[in-house]
Amino acid sequence: MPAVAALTLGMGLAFAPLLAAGALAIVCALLLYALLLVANLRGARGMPGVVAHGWAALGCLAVALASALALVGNYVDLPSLGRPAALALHVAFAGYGFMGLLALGLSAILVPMFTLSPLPDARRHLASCAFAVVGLGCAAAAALGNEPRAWQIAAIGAGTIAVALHLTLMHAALRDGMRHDLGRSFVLVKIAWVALAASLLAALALALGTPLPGLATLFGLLLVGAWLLTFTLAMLQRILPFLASMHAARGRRRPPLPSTFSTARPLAIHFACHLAALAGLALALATGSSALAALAAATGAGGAIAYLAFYMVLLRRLAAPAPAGSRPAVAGEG
Amino acid sequence: MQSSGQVSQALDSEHRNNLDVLGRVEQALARSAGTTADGELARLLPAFVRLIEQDIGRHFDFEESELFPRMAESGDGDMAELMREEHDAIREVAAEVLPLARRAAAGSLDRAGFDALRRGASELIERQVAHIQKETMALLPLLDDLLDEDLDRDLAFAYATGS
Repeated sequence: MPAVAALTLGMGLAFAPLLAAGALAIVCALLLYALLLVANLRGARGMPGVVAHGWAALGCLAVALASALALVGNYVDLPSLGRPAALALHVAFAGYGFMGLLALGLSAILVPMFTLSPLPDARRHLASCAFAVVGLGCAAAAALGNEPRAWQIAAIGAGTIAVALHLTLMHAALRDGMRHDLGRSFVLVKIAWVALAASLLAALALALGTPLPGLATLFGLLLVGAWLLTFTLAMLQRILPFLASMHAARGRRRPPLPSTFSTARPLAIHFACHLAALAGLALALATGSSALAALAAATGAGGAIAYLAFYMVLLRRLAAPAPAGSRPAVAGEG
Repeated sequence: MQSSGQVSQALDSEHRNNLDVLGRVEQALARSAGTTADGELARLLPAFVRLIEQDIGRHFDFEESELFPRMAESGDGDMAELMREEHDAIREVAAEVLPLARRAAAGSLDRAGFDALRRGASELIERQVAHIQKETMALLPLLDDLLDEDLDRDLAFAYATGS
């Protein structure tokens, strides 16, 4: 957390030493994370599609970290890969690679779990992973090679097939699941999926040199804000109460229910603010209005505070001493 | 791709049947504004009682005697222990709900009892749904590794025949 703050502040203030210190600390933290991920993947059994996504994400993390160090090298005048190539690698391998593949892989567990649907077809899930990896390979060739546009288009094509296969599996999970009333969190998930597809469209427009103002920023908004952030926040609001319930279960005769760790109002506020902020930022990019961008950012910050409130309530309830037994379910007499 | 094992398919099928009944009871309870079980809820109560009386206990006993020890032996003892604890909690709630559901099915439950049935059934449903979600994602995919073909067939036969 302090490292992310230092990196962000270093970027905002254009203060290279702070930026470099924050980046190096983040690299160290992610290397530790990578060790944990390796241990988990080596012990994983079943679900080959999920495991394949995990290994591919791990490989992408290596490229994302190397390209991040190259970018830092450019800021502090150390010899490194040129900034355009390093930036192109970092965007593709951090956004679509590391984070994106983790999201696509874990979706095959989480979405069927929450919808109570059969597990996704492993072959299709593996095929989606394979196309994503091919796409990322093409993106690397575009960043480092001589024919960037052709490689970029090939990368987007392979990525589109990967996303289409993934979304087909997710659609089947929603269609065949036994739980259809999935609440606001899955509205966010669906919006995130749309944003993922839209980000590829924006990437194609960028590759073709379409003269749209703010296109590169819009691409970043779609990839990071609308796809990855929306998806992560949507899944976390479902999985955190679930995990809290499991964590609280130890030693209790009747452990608390997942629903006792969730709070509706902060999540409703976050839902409205998050979507308003994304729409406001997109509109600000289209109109070039900095005032609208500031308003959208403030709205997003309000949503973040609401989400924090949800999380704090969860932690407070988790830390509360266990009552004797648990909530009495039934006490009535007939 | 769902597990190809017979035990996995049998358990998954029961999960789905349970969820179907529980989901319909949940919806009927939500729609039931009254203080007695009538209409759709009254029609569902016999199946709900049967699910508590027979399916939950039999299903849990099989997992605890045949599957959880194998999970523990293969290094997933923590998950098996968590599942067992959840079974105990569900059994406890089910034991409280069952007499109320029986009386409601017989039409002899008063207002306080009906309120208690509504609360208890809601808790039972949430616990069962969360438990099945965990088993679907953590237990069933393991069974292909835990059970070879012969053992899978023998256990599935024993479970189906109740032997």
